[in-house]
Amino acid sequence: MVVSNFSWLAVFLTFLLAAVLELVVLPAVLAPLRPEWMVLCLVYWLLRHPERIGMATALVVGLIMDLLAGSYFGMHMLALSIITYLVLAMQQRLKMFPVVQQAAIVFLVTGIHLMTVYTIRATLSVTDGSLEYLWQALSSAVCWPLVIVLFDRFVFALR
Amino acid sequence: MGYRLLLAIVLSLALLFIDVRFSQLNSARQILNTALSPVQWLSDLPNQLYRGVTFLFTSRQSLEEEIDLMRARLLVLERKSQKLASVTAELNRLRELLNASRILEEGVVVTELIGASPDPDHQYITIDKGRADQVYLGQAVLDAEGLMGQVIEVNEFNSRVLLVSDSRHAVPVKINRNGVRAIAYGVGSVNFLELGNVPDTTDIEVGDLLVSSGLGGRFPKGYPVARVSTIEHDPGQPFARVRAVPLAQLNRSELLLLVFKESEQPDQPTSGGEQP
Repeated sequence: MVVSNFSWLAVFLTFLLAAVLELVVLPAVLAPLRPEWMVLCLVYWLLRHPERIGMATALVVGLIMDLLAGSYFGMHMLALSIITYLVLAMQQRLKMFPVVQQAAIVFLVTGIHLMTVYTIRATLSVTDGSLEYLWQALSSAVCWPLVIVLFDRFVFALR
Repeated sequence: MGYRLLLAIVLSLALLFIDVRFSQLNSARQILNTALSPVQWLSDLPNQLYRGVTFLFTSRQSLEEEIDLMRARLLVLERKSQKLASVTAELNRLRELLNASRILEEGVVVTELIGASPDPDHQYITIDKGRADQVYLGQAVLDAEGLMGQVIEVNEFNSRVLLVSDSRHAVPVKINRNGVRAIAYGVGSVNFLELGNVPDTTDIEVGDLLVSSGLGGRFPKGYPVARVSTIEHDPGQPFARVRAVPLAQLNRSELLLLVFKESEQPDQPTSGGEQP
């Protein structure tokens, strides 16, 4: 957790991995359970290096998510900037939490992200209004410990 | 920190507004998407690897069986198409007698699915042909069974196809049996489409085949779209509630066909009305 650990290469590679995971074609049973990898990745970096990763990164990541999802520009940017603000505001406490408690917060944060995106989508076009997308928030929370462990190892190896 | 959030929100709302209202950002989107195509390619890699590995472990015998099966199928299809050329010619002669315009032959190009929407509410797929292969906006995409959707975004090496089942999509169709016209709306489920504004007295039955009517000039005429599955008549409603099951395997097909209209310039988007 020392500042010298930071490298933009690691940031780039982890986000690349997250983007690929976001797009991989899953079987129909698993598709509604796809974790929000990009959000997880962003929250990871916000916790580890809040002095480098902030609102600007969130906007760029949001732009990429808009492009990958084929949604209107600004949709994911708006959602990600909101959760970036939230995570940065409680970052001091959040990084001290045990992993399970962090996962609970990640559930809330991903839920807020998804709700923002779906609210914008519902105002702009037709959606069926079901809350099924919240399963994605749950699976993101379940994957959080995995993300922490794997990314920490990965960043350490790249150092 | 708070003013940064405010700035970010204002920026994204402005972008959202511009993107929804105007089309100036479309060229930027194309360029950025082309830059992101390595990610698309990488995300297809696990599937390709899986296919490669399963191919490695396929026995010679099952491959031979598959070839035999395909030969048999080819024979059946060839027999069906033998008469097609003469029937088309005859149909065109008859239409000339009626002073109707000729039916144009359509060319097809095989394309492969490389990605699907990460979001279950958004029904689109990505295919591996783009502007480099003269794909154009609004082009119809088929699979072996029926109409899949239309191209909504063309990038350099890949393009995005909106499926007929997306809630923003509608296809003009007609009933193959009697030619009654209707419009099939997507509702966001791959399992059924809904026919809009069908009067209670319309001659429509469960099992009727719906084919694209070609009205509106977007889709070519005569491709099967869906089969009527349920019809509900509610005396309190002005219209019947008709549901139809799409014939294309919207969430399973991997090999797709892009339809090229032969009369048109390939790089020009289709617009209705210039044909006589």
